[in-house]
Amino acid sequence: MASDGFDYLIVGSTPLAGLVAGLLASAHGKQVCIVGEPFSPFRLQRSLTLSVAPVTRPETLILLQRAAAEAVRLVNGWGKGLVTRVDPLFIAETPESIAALGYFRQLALALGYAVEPVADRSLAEGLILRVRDVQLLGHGRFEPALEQWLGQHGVRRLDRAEAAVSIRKDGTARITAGELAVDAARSILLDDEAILTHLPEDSRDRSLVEQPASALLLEGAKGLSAPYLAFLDRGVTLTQDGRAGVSALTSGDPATTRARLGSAAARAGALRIAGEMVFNTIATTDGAPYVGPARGGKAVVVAGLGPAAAFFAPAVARHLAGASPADEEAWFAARGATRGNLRLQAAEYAPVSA
Amino acid sequence: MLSAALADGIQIAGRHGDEPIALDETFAPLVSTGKGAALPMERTPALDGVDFVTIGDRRDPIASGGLLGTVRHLLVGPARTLNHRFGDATAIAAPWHNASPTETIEADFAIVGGGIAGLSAAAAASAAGKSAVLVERTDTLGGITRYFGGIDGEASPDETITELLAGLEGKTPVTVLLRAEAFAIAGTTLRVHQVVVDGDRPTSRVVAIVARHIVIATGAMERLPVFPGNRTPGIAGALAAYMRAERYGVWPGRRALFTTPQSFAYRLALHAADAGVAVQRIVDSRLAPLSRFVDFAKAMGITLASALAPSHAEPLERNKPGLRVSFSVNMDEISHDASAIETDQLIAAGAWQPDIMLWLRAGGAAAWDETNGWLAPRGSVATLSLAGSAAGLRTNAAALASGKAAILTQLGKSAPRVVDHVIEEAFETPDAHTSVAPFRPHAKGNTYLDRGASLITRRSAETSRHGISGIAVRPVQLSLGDIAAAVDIGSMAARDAGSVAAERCALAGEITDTGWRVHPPAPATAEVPAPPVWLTGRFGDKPQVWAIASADARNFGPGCLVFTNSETSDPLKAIGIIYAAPLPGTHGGIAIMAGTPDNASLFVRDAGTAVASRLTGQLKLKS
Repeated sequence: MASDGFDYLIVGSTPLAGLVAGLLASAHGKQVCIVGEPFSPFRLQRSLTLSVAPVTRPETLILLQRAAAEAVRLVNGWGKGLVTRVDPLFIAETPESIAALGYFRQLALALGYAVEPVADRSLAEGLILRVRDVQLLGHGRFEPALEQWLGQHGVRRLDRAEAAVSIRKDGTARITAGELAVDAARSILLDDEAILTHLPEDSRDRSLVEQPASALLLEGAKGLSAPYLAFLDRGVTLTQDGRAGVSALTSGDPATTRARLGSAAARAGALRIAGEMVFNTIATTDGAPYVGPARGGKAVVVAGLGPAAAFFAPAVARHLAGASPADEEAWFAARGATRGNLRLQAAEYAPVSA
Repeated sequence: MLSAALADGIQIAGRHGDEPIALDETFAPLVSTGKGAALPMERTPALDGVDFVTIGDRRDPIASGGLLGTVRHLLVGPARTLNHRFGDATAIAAPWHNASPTETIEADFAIVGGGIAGLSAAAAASAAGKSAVLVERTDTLGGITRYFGGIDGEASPDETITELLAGLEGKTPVTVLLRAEAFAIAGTTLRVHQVVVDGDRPTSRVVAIVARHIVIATGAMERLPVFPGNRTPGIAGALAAYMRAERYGVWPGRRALFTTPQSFAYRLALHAADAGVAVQRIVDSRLAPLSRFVDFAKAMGITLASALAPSHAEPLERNKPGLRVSFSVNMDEISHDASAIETDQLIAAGAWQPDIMLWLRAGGAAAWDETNGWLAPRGSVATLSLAGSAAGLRTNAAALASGKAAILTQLGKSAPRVVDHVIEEAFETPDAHTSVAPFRPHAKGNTYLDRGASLITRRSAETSRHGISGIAVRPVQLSLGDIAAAVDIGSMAARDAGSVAAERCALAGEITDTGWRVHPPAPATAEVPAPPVWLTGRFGDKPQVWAIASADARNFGPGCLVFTNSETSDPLKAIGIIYAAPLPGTHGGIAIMAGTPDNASLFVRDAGTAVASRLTGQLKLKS
């Protein structure tokens, strides 16, 4: 433990960042400072976090299944309704996506997930899978409970608007906020915004690329056909948010965002825009998660974990604390910095941006 | 249309639940002549011989229309309501938000807002020989400067406006679009919806204005004071009441009660008294306010009260004019109810909010300004300038200078310094923030945060399911007034206000299915497809591709796992994966395999079922 500072500086505002910070403190006994944007229920959701994702590496689905069970147990211990059970639909429409989703179906069945194809040609042509009993983080309820839990475990939380963070090449960091001026022994950039803010492009691994995205709040008279719909080839994810509300996340070409969204939500009829936010995300060129160093530095960068990112938190925390079992360590080792063809061995299905 | 309806005694737009909601400039339904597109009631001229219907859900469509409606009219008198029903869903969307422009106008400058700041900008552009298009929502230029009047040593508002209007005919005449609303902005392109009269009928068009630079001079909006029953018919904002009276001669009732956090409402009360309206009282939320208008009101014998704010309003009788208004002490957290007053109209002046909607739509930022109690624009946007009240300026002199400066700066010329010098506090008590009545959860009548279409109530903003504010969960577009009121009542942190405004106020329109579809699958070919990249390394460095046939002649779906025996299902022990459909004329599928299996007989797991299969031949990939 650092004698006059923190063992870890976590930079990020997402549920993953908060959970990792808290787990480093609570499960691994570390001194942790997290710098991020305080949660506001009025802001639009920039992630729709589900405990399963259509991954195509069995070791990834095994790790996610294990970590998600731990995360759900942890969060359920904080109170009721912080995660909710949903039966999401994943929709693939191109031959490439159909092959990947078909493979995911077989993997998921083999690992005990309840997965079934859905015949609904009015929704889309192609392959539609329903996964039963999946956990969805409850936006607006989860975050306050997370902040309370972080407080209970002594995690120092700083508002990024009021804290200055200077990350050095050796991975240590200087944090200043008002009267506070301390060092952290290790810096972890745990969400896309943290990477975009603190790492210039030439300091990012070559596998990391910026991708435009948008979050929308929509009002519709009719409900969606499922509480969670992920159109892999349209770059659109929709969730029913209350009786008349729909939250949407889109990625890919901004010029076609509304057209893709309109096609994905066609069954819900016309949807009135009640809010929109455009932002940039970090994706990986090979579809595989990236957990490795900044280019030319030692700050740790975590990216590309996808819509289930928060549910990887227990495994990520173990990895950062050096407490991973061998199989997890092998998983992280294969998803580090670009060296030769190593990352190709971990490549995941990455839908082509529409 | 709106003023005609108000003049005709129609004060109610409809009901939200059981609550009658006042018809006003920010809450009026769309209208239609039965031919052509829907039109905004507040921008559509009333024309002789043209009948309109309002659009939206009705409470009792049979009783309020047709023969029954006529009978009802004869028996109980003219309707005071448009009889719409407003639920939790918002009203019908303005259809022009998704319409394509029918005309494009190119200009050096596009100026939005025909108040004195916008006129000043337009006149400066014209004088410099640059083409300019001036977009104004109402049917007159000059904005709201007459409401404020003039001050000693300055030209009167009328003189100023006359001079500015003459300036529009400078070296290059300015193109003026009246009854036109700029509803979208992208880069230097504005999309404008304009109501025009075609022959003897009103119609509308959407125009794109492509300019080198855009000046936003959209003025300021008057906030709604926060108290139960604050949208009861018979309540009007001071500015709205002034504009109705000044432009259309509309003033409902013979007596009026005024409540205000600023001095200009006194001026309106003085005008009303001059016109023969019985001004029952002017109630100021400030303690012992000082102003020349206060002195004039005293001199005219008008009853004044200070440190009081409205605490409740309700109709005297259902569907009848008149209302009862209560006040409470509004000082140092003390809340004490004063007596109720019956009146024909409550003029409820509110604090100001710069109209920065277009600025936000252009990607501009905003932040809460604690001093002024409003959302203020922050930062800059290339090719955009703010002028006048939209920029947070308060005085006529500053508005005029900022409009001119916006143009001259772009032309690289010396621009006038913008000095916003307000009258010293010793002579004029500064405006107070919008008054907020003490929260009484069981008070009769809804407390709305703003006058607009969101219909967010204080009750829903302060509490909701699971402790999350109704503002966060209700999927409606918010107004700047909703957000400012949410900050005032403490349900939203001031630090969030700017970001929430950018996300929840800026956009409008609908998402509909435009027919976009994913590209259709490529037709199958006889060639052996390459395994997908996400299987790289899955079966070692040198995987093989094999054709596999099932014993029951089925075709395997993509992703089925191949095992050496029927008991195993662990995906990590799979020796192959079906990744493509079988070659034409065969069945089974094409698999990527770890190598040549010892035994040609194997099992393919298809959705949990182990299907006996066999290798039929190794396939070569086309290089």
